Amino acid sequence: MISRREFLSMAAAFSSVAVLPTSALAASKAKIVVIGGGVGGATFAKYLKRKAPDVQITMIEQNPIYIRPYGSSEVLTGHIDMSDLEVNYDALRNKYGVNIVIDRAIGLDANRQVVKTATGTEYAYDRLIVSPGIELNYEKIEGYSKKLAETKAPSGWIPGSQTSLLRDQIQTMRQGGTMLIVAPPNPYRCPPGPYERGALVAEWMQKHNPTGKVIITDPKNKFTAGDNFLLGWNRLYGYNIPKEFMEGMPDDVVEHTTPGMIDWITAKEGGTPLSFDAANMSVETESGRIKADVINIVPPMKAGEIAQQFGLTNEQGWCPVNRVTFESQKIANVHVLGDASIADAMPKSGFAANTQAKVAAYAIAHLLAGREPEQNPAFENTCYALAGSDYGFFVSAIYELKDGKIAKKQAPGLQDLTASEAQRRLSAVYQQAWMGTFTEDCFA
Amino acid sequence: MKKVITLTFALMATITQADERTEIMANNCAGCHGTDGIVGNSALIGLAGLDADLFIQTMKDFKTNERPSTIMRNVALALSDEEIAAMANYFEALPAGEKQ
Repeated sequence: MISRREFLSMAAAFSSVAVLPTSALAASKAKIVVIGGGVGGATFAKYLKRKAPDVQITMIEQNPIYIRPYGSSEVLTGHIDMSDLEVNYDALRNKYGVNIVIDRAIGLDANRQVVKTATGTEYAYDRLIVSPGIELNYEKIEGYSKKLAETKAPSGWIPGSQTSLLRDQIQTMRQGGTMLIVAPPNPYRCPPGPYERGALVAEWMQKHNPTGKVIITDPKNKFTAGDNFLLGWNRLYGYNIPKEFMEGMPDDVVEHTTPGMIDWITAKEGGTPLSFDAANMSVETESGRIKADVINIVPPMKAGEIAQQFGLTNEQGWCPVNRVTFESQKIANVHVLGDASIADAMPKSGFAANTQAKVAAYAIAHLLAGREPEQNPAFENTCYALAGSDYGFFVSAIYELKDGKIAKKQAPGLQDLTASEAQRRLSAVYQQAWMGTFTEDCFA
Repeated sequence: MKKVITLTFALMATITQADERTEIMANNCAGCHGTDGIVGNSALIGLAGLDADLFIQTMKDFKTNERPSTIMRNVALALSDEEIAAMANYFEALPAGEKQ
């Protein structure tokens, strides 16, 4: 028999358990330093502040304005301007109270738990979040370099001056000219990106350079949502779908008798790029030399430079992490988010970085309060992609942990090839709407 | 008495954990449907304050293609009935208010 006194004390214990999550977190004045104000860093800061308002977050970011990479190929066709890619940190600063420091992190003292910046400032942390995005390995393509990317053959995979240079090159290209896109090997940021870019440029050419051509040369034999792209290219740009990809294609696929506007050269066909010749504006591939008027090289990638400098990367150049907390497997109390991290089945996309950042924010809120994080989190990725302004499709999946790794939950992941015109149009509408809602969820 | 309390205690702890997982799952919707289920002027709808029964029925209709969709069929098929019900209750409880 339990006494009234015991009952009351148990009830008190019971209710304190119920309220503990909020109160313990609210009391935490832990110091969090975030390096990188992209999708991963911004989403993390916002969601941690929502969960644990008293935590002090300092975000170290080199640029006062973020230029979003997602949707940046739309600049190339003039659908949007460079300024439309700009995102500011006003809401993070003013609404969530994140201390935004425009500076560059240059050093880490993991023992003292201190980050050093270019201006000579030191920031102490209880937990450090590194969300550095990608670094482009220009030199992996012989003859190519960052300098050539900025002057002659832009990559435009990290948006900025290379994006506007590429836009200008496309728009002033001679009539009947060729744009060559060199696709990257896996893994890379935005898997459907190179193929969507080719499609959008082809659509632009239909209006402005109808005898122009887009060639995509590829070190791979397949790519994300490939069947949807091939079908869209067939319907819109006279592309002939190779036999091996015909399975499951709808009846309206046309066998075109004249060359289309898009050509895709797979690895099997010798598409793997070997070198770039800037003087002759050509790319040497395994099957020979391709000359072009505009050359857009998307080089192999690795984790952002700071992750390498801090010793957070493996031999392949990516960061191994715990899949619940995203704590580095190399350095304690340092977490790596977004494209730089190894997230198994998840692609390197903004959507993926956003949901990973939220899971990490919740996990770290628990760790700061001395509790175990939720061990069964869920992640999601959705990438809408375009084969034309009104022709959209998507890849989407929900993920959960399986044997300590992130695995896709069983479900279809692509738009059906039999999708109606209305569905394709709706996917294109949602693609555009998502640019706004997603940016808000990350930054506002 | 003690048994009842212990049981309630254990149950509450489970609910707290489950609620957090629901919140984490609901956060995954925010990229399209807004933080806390609130979106401004958009082709994508907000979910805050949405009637739970309507949420559940809509997800069922997405699964069967009764209601044609883009990604939502695949999203619905990846979720269990329990997960959908938990998220329905979660979004129903969120204030639908004006976008800030």
